[in-house]
Amino acid sequence: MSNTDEAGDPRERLEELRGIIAEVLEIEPEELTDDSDFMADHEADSLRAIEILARLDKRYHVEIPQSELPELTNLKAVHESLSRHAGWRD
Amino acid sequence: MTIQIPTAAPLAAYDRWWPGATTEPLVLHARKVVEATEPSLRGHFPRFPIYPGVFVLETLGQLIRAGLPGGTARLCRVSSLRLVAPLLVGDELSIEATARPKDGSTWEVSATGTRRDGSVCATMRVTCTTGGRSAPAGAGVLEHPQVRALLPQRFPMLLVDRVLELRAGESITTIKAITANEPCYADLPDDAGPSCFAYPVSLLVESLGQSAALLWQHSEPPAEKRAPHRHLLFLTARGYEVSGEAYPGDVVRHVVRLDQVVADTGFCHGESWVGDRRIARVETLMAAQRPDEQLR
Repeated sequence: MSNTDEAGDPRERLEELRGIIAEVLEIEPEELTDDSDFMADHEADSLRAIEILARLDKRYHVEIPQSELPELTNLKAVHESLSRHAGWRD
Repeated sequence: MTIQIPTAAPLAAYDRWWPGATTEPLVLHARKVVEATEPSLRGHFPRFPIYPGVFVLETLGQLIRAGLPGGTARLCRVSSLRLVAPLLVGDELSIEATARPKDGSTWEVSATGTRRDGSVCATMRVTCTTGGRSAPAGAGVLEHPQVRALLPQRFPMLLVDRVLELRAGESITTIKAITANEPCYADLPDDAGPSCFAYPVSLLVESLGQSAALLWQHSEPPAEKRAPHRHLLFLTARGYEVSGEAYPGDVVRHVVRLDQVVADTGFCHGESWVGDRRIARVETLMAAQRPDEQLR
């Protein structure tokens, strides 16, 4: 087992993240696929991106630098960035 | 030259004033034409505009301030105000006031207002003082001038009256008194029922948002570390729930807590209360400071 208790199951974490981001984007979680584009597919704007950062900070106590915002275009990218900054090893 | 300190006034109550006798008793003159465009006439009265009688007193008050030495004289007693004839649109009010010093800081003033045809429309006997005014009772941690200094909004969109409590970076409690004279009530018909006077939700959100802005202003790095010329923008409200109303005469109390600051953007949640009744709550308010150049 490479996961600590704190990190939790990677699959569950991805699903939780899907739920959090879908809520910010005001869509159903099933509409948000791993690589659907927040802006192109879900009409997100820069504000939604900041809201996502804020939710992640609140939920996981992980601060993703603002400079990474442009790269956080889909769920997979957010998950990767979050895992990296949180030090999770999946 | 006297530097005039601004005071609250319902209108510019004279078109011009000039001194008469410059030896005591001092004599002062003022003239004011009643214009159809005077905003107060709209409500006094909707179907028959009459220049509000108290504005004759206002003219005297402004004349005294302009004409008595020091430029700070203000009414402190109205012994007699007699409004004997109305002033209508197009009338011209002329006031002649005679001021006698009573002691070092007070003057006794008697004045007569006449219309263009020379008929008397008002007589007044007042006392004025050059002494200072009492300060606000100090119930808040920020009184209105400080609120105005921190917020860029102005009449009729400055919707916080006073800050009762402030913990920088944490929380703020503000009040906004609702009066029947709010512009939002201006167009209500005479037969509007009680529920028509519910204060608009949009303005409640704005008032709460301005409270959040004040909290945010106090939670920011010191001014010298901030970019100049920035405007605080209200960006997002999520989960705003109305559970009651505010009506004229109510004092709305907002409590806002700062949750997070992420990417120069503040996240708050808050509640609005009238007495012990919660009338609204919001899960998230988002506001950010952006340089002016990003707004163009």
